[in-house]
Amino acid sequence: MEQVRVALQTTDPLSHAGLANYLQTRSELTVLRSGQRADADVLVVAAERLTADIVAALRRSAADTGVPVVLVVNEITEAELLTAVECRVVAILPRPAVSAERLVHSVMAAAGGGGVMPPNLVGELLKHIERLQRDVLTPYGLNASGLTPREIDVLRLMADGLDTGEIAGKLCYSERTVKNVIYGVTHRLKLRNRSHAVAYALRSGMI
Amino acid sequence: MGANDVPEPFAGDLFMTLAVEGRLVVDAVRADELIADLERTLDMITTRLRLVQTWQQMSEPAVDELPEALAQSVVDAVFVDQLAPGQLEHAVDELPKYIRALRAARRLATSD
Repeated sequence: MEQVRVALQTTDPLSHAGLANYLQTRSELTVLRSGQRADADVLVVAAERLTADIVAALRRSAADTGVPVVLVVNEITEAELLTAVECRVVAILPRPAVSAERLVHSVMAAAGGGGVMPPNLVGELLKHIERLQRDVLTPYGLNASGLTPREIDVLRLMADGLDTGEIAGKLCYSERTVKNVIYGVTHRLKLRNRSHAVAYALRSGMI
Repeated sequence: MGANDVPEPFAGDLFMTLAVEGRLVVDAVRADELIADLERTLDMITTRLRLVQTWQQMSEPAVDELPEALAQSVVDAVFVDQLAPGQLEHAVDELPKYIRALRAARRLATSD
């Protein structure tokens, strides 16, 4: 099997020695000396947090060599995750959970993946999109389904078989308000009628 | 963006870069779900933005004169825009980048 050359950057010598020991458990991995970093296939960076210095180093590495990076950190925020990914980080391992097996697996995947992010990291990135939509919609009383809490209440009671008058009584609205809510949701979401609105809400998992 | 900077809520350009470079590959089914959600979100916030813009262009805006079904949406949209001015415009600019990125990432996923 072809050798994978690994450069190691840590904030303290003990972590460096420990991670190097993990990597050297596999004969196909070669841990490079500090002066050989330009020859690396994969860079492993270990730090407590993604500080400005670490980010600067990651940016330099991305610009100079563009090799995939395995990041070992205690914790990482969503904003830091985006920064890390921008700097070609393809795997993030929590420091307390690092083992020889997990580190080697991540390094081998990084070396063989051609910079493509693994599914778990893609999953974390996609959470950013979901969070973003919530942040954009919530101030307007909306959610990704396109329904407001009031519309959900009305649709839930419609699904229970209540008529307009009964829904108005249950929710302490006027019948006119209930009709307006139903008209609003069917018109906005281009639904054909009340049954279609209930079906839409059921299918989207909102009621 | 540095680690100590205030988090930037949108990262549409980053997603575009990742997708174009082939680093972001998203399962087609998941990508389609997200694209549908984003398109719906974009539609909703574009509507809110139009409400805000229409309200701002009225010479003598009055909530009482609006249809009941519309009044609450207008009040919410205008009020939130006062609290966070420009956020709607920013979202309307940024969300299409995510949609384009996911389309690119999806194509890569299915062509492999």
